[in-house]
Amino acid sequence: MRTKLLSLQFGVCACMALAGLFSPNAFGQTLKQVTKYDLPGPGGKRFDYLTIDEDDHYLLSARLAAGQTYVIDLGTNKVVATITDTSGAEGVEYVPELKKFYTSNAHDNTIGVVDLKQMKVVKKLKTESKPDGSTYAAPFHKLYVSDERGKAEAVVDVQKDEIINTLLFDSETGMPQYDPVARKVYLNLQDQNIFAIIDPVTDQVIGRYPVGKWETTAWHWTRNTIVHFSRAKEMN
Amino acid sequence: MALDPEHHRAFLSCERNELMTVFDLDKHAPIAFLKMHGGPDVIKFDPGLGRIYVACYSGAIAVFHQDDADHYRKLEDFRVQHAVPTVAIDLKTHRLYTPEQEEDGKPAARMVVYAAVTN
Repeated sequence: MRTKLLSLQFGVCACMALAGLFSPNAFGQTLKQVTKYDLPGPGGKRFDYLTIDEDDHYLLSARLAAGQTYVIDLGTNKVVATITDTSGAEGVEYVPELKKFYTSNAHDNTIGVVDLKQMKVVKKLKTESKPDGSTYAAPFHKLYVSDERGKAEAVVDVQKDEIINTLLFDSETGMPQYDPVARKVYLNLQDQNIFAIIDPVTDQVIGRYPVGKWETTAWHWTRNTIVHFSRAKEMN
Repeated sequence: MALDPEHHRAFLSCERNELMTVFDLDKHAPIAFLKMHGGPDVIKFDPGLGRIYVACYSGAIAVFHQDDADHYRKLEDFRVQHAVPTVAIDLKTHRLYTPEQEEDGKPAARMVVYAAVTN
């Protein structure tokens, strides 16, 4: 009887554990669909980065495979403008003080400057190969655009709309981010699993650190070993 | 990459090993690795809810919770249509926006809006 009860208890526990392991929703539902609406352009074409213009309450949506960028009113869920001439639009970044946004156009290797008042492209800046993610360092009036295949980071002066610097790397460049607290730009060098830090004052790389699980272990092991041998040498 | 400047953390969506990596910006080292659904791409952080979202191309939004600056856990792989590579968050309303290019394998072009459930 006791054996049977234990078996039953074990069976119930095992079932609960398995249910927890394989349930797609073990912690409860985290999101709930509110609405959906159609967008212009052909179906089946890939989208890319989105960003929000909090001043106008616009959602800016880059659509890589359709060569379009949508300006969507978040209050009404209506598309207020379809920006063309953004061929292969991947990245999109808003510059609030100038009422402009910038698209990374991977198909013609340009950075598009879009005036939100005119709702059109007003300038295109030639860049390296496959511009992708971008970030805006507001206090420096600089936009950083990763040229993924060009293994570069283009620095745009948004007041002049000119590329004032191009940083070259020996790796494809991933999505950059500006940290407003540290006042630094961070960049993932994705071929090498390296986290790079750029000082926007000088546009110099001031740090490179491993990110991957094994690379970090190896880096710490190598560093600790070097420290160990250095100390041993000093003691001798 | 997404940032939590207040707690000096960066969140990285690592495509090759499908790990969401938390990077300590003071120590300059990763402090957590969490498994994601296939094809992770754009990552965003909602500091108001302490949530990290990653759009996964295989058909999910990976949802993680920041318990504190050093502790993270996965809440859910929320199922969405295949080929959703990107997400945006309205930090005032905590709503998520994800464009879809497919509906059950057929071509589509639409924006889907989600509210965060926090019970």
